[in-house]
Amino acid sequence: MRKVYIDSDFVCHADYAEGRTAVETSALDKVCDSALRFYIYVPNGSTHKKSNGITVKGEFVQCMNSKSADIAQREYERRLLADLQANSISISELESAYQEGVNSAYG
Amino acid sequence: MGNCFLHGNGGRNPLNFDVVQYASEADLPESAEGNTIAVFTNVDITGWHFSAKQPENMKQGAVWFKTVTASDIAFNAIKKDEIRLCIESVSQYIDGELIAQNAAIYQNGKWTNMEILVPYEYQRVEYLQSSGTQFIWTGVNTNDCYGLVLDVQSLTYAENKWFAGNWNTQSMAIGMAPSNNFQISVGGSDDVFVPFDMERHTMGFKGDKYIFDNMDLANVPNYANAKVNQNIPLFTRLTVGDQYFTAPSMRLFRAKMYDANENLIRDFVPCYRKFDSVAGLWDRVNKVFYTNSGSGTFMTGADV
Repeated sequence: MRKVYIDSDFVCHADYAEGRTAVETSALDKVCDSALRFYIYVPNGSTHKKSNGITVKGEFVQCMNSKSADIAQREYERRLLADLQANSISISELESAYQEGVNSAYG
Repeated sequence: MGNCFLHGNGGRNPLNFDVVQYASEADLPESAEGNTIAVFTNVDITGWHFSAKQPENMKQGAVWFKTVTASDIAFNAIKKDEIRLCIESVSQYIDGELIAQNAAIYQNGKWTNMEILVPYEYQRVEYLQSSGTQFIWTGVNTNDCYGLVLDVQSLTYAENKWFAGNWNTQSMAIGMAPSNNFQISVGGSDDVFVPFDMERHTMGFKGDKYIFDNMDLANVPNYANAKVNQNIPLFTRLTVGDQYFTAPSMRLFRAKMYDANENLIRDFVPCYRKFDSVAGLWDRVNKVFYTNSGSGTFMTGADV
């Protein structure tokens, strides 16, 4: 379950701002913060008239621009992977340093 | 009706068309002017609209040709590309309601039925997206299935998660195998393995062929091994016995199923029902709307 903020057009955002309402949903669990703006989320009990004239009833979740959402999501995942790799190198260095210390203590 | 076009260009082939009324397909003349659209109705056509959005103040008998709001087909005026108008559905305003109508278009010397992808009461979307807890029963038994072709995109790699199918002593399934591969299996004797990626692909099997995009695959499905007398779900694979489902997070753009004679028995189009916004798959063959049998809510792609 994740907290997101929807504006008056039911567009999702990661941060609070005036006019945005906090909602909790598991439907957007795997969507990164920067891709949220490409999604609309209509909570249970709410209705939303879209620009094409169709009124949708909650719970309704739609990606309005999957190409842009995918680009944002992949960029986030690339950064995450790079961070993980960097952290993994740091851990490996720590392990080496620790092992050196152990070896010198018993050497 | 997404593949149904009016077309022309500014030169030799201007975008001319005509809308005419016939009671049924049997009444169509042998030939007609190019881009003649015949709407099959007994109610007089009083006018017509081409628009993506429902016109306001429609008159009795007026026909609405709903056009798509997005298309992958490029247009380049400098190259004198054809102008194409893609028609999504045809409906007629009768006694205060929009009624879906069948229609045909005369192009290249023949009449072509403008088959409706989804009825007016539904809104077609790019795809249905599952999070891993949704699935849809197809109502097709493994014993009767000789073709399952998915237009699909996986949103994550997860070993032994499946886009569709069934596994008992042998499998009839499409999904993700160990070691970063897609796997397509019918009977388990000559399965297809293709390196995994997160792009959109057409994959499955039909008759004596496996399908993966445009690859030339020599592998052969083994239907005799795969007859386990079980219903086939989409968005997951059912493992018989413990009712264990193995569902990934994925997008389904279209799914087709075939019988032993390669007749189309299911043609699933992603959409949502307008009156309650429930997302699901419209089967064009049997004209049935299939909804989620799992938990949670399907996410949809954009309206098209």
